[in-house]
Amino acid sequence: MWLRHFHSSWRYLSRHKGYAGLNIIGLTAGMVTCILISLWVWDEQHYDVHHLKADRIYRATRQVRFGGVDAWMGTLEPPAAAMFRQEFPEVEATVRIRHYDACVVRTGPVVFKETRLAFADPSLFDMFTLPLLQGDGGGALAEPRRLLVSRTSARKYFGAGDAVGRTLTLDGMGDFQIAGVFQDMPAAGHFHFDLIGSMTSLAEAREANWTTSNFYTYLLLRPGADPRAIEKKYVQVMTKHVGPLFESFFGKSVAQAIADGQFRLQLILQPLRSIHLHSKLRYEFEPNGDATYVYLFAVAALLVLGVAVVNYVNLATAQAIGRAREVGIRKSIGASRSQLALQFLAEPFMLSLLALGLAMSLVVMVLPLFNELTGKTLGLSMIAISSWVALGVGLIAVTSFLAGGYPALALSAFQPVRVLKSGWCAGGRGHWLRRSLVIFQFTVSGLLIIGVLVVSRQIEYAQTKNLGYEKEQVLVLDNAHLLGIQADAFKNEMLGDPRITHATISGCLPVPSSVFNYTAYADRRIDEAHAIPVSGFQVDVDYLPTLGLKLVAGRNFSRAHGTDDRAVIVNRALARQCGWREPVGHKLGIPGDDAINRGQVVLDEYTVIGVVDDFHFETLHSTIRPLVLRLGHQPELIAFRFVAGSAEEVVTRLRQTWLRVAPDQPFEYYFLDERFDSMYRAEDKVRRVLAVFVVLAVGVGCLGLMGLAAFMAERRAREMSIRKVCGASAADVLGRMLREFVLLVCVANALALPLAVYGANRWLAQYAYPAPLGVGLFVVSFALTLVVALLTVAWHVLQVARADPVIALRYE
Amino acid sequence: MIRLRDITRYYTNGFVKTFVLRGVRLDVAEGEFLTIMGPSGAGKSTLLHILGMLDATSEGEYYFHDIPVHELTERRRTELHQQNIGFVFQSYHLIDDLTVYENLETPLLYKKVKAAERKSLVADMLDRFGIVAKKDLFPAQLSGGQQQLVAVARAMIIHPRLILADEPTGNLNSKQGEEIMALFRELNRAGTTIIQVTHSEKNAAYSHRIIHLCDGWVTGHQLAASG
Ligand SMILES: Nc1ncnc2c1ncn2[C@@H]1O[C@H](COP(=O)(O)OP(=O)(O)OP(=O)(O)O)[C@@H](O)[C@H]1O
Ligand SMILES: [Mg+2]
Repeated sequence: MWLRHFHSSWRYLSRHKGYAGLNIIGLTAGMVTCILISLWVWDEQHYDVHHLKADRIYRATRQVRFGGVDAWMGTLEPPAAAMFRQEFPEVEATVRIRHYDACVVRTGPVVFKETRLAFADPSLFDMFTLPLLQGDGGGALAEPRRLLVSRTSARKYFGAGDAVGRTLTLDGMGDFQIAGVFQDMPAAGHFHFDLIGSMTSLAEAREANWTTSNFYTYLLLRPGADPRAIEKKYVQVMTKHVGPLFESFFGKSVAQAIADGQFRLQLILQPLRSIHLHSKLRYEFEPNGDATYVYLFAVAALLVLGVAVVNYVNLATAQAIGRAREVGIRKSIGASRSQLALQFLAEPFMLSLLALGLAMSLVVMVLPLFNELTGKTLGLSMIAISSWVALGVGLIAVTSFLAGGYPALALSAFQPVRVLKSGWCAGGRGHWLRRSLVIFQFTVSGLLIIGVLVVSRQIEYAQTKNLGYEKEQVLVLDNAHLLGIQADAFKNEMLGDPRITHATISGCLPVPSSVFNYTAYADRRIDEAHAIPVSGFQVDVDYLPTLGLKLVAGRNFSRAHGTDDRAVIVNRALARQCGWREPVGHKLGIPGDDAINRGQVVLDEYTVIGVVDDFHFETLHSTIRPLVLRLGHQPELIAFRFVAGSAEEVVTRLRQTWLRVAPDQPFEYYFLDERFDSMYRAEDKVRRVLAVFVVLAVGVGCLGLMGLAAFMAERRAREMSIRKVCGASAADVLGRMLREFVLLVCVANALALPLAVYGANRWLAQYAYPAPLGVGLFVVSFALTLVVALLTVAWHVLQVARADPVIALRYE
Repeated sequence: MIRLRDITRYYTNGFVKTFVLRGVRLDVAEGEFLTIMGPSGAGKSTLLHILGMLDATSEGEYYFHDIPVHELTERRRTELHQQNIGFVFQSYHLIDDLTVYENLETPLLYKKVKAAERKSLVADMLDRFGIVAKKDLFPAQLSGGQQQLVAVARAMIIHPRLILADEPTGNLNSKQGEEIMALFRELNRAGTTIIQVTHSEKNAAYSHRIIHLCDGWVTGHQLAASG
């Protein structure tokens, strides 16, 4: 019987190729989207699962309120790990990781800048599952000056030769001997290191210093241990260890500070596997995923599939009218309702089977493109065969039942006597259903269009907003420290070029760079009220003019003032937070470098000489925080401001000079505005993925609309002809037919509007500086859906409006 | 075989009830050949549909072999129909998308007849109606008479105990009409009960008994020439 159902469905579909084609294309598009997004979601949700002990591993992070500022920090003090092992019996082992995101590494003439360098405790290889190809991980990390490298790095530095036993020089840290090679870390992990040095090599790691915190700390809990219990006990245990130090700093006990609401400390243990999607620390090893986008994209993919399913329902119920006679006959020769329903389910089943086949081959074809779009390395073998089967069965079941269910019920319910007599069945209900479904489709389209527009608007807003500095025409030379003492000479030589107007040597730029965060004390008063968490830039005298920063009070640093090495320029945000009306002349206490290392409070005194207007030195996600500019020699980057239109020549000139001054060193540069744009890469990715969804949803929706229009045109040809005979003009007739579609699009947009406003506001809430939502967005979305809808139906409608009335009437 | 008691059928249109059948009382014995006649709009087709279980009564009782059809669920009614009734329409009502062969086979499918048996039953029918050569053609490729032959064959293929025919010769020329009627007579002689609706006295003459329907009322019984 089933076979027979398929047989007759097949015959029906091959007789109605247009109908079959529209449905297959739509369902295929929906399924491709669902399969790709399923792969993506699956991947996002399976980060760090390759670690065998993953369900017992937690990362220790803390939420801290201090100086009126809340922060969620991922790094702990050097002795914290040992403390966890001593004080918490639940903790079986700990590992600390110290991450360096920029270090020049060389061996002989081979030089690379490494961004994935870390130092770790020997327990790293016990806790995490990181297969070694050569050497003994734990043993190697127990000794100072040992290094393990990934397979790729081993090849990079030593080619086919053996890496173990060779030496790499880490700039500023000395020589390290390679003691092992580990497999490249899988893409689905929240960290990827190429070089892992032994923690004992770092002096900082050996000290019992509770005033710095640079160590990501992972805990392996004993089976059955409760992480909540550790979180609860943490503050009490910490107080035991740092209580006296805290009091000597702030003149009150930890408990008192907490009671006064000035200080808050909360340990948060992040389960390893949830870090990728749920951790939002200020500094992560790498940009993490975002659970919101996982849900968002999953929903969007389902919506696209939904639009395709709706197409089927629409077209099938429309076609049903033409099939009513068949239903009547079949009933009159003994078909039961369930037999008929099955027959009409066979059709969407077959369509979705075909669509699934097509979709799978398309997925194979577009997967590389999709990977490029999302920056992933998804593969078909990523999920097991059984999961594929489940996915396929699920897709087919969902689409055929959702799509076929209503038409099958509606068709099989036809009263045989009626349809046989009149040839068709009054379709009042079906008509309303079709209308609501079209509204659904356009609501989805409208929502997605507005989504893309909002994200684009935010990116554009960031790019065009007055940032407080001028990001255009600035070229940044990377690796400037490789020039060593010649950095100044290099800079001055380049300043001799007429195309270069300014140049500054610094480590800090308003794009991701090596910024220090510390606590400064207003007017050198050491107490909580005067403690200001600040970001610190080390700059030279040419920094302000090169970046185009505006001084609003005081003066710039100057070589003429011998005392400027004890001077600071602050931003308005800092002045505001310190409560200074006339900031110039005020004193600022900054912990000296030595002081921190010895774990004592020694503040160096600086004088404010100038106030710079607030500028965005971080992304628009965060408000402009207090910033301190100090004179310092930190020759990591050299930024050059050049005359418009001379970029290429400047690069050529720079390269020549570099090759002469530092022939063996890698020459790397970037443009400030490009680097700035890259800060919004995540948004850009979202925008691109959403844009693909828009194209799919709108495209698939239009297919359905086209089919529906064709059908309606056919049904209404007679009515329109009569109107024409009665003297209506073609324009009248056209308007009458288009009115319904226009109305549907209007209703859909009206529905999309509140949803879109709500969603957009939720999304924009992550920005301290959201782009204003104008009416324009909605007008554009409305106009776009309307135009697309009208264009889609226009052809058929014109056909009807133009038709010779006599012909339509004669054949009726 | 069939017992109708006070069958009434009306359509409600707003608050107005339009009566199509009024208190129809009718008994049909097994093996009878009955003709229903009456002016257009009298309710003949409606009565036939009710007899064929394609339509429900508004009031009254319908016993088919003492089974109260008016009380059955849709599913049971379909079953009863499947087992016992073949229907022939004035406008043939073949399924356009199926070939002659498949059209004949469809009722057997619904009856869940096994494949081998289906094959032989269809082959028998094709043979008996002399349409073997046409078995792979679609209805649109046949003449009206041929289509009606197929429709009759389709009605007969389940070996129904009752054949209902609604103006089966209405669209045919007289020669084709006679062929069909001859066929009915033959079937009836073999034991099948037949109820036909017709306007033609000539066709009515093939049957045993004629009832007249007017405005929904049964206005007369009459024995036919052959009866
Ligand atoms: N759905 C309906 N709603 C209202 N009235 C209906 C409906 N269907 C049929 N009728 C009415 O029922 C009456 C009987 O119809 P029926 O088809 O049974 O007549 P008939 O005797 O077969 O006529 P003909 O000889 O023309 O085929 C007609 O007057 C018709 O108008
Ligand atoms: Mg009739």
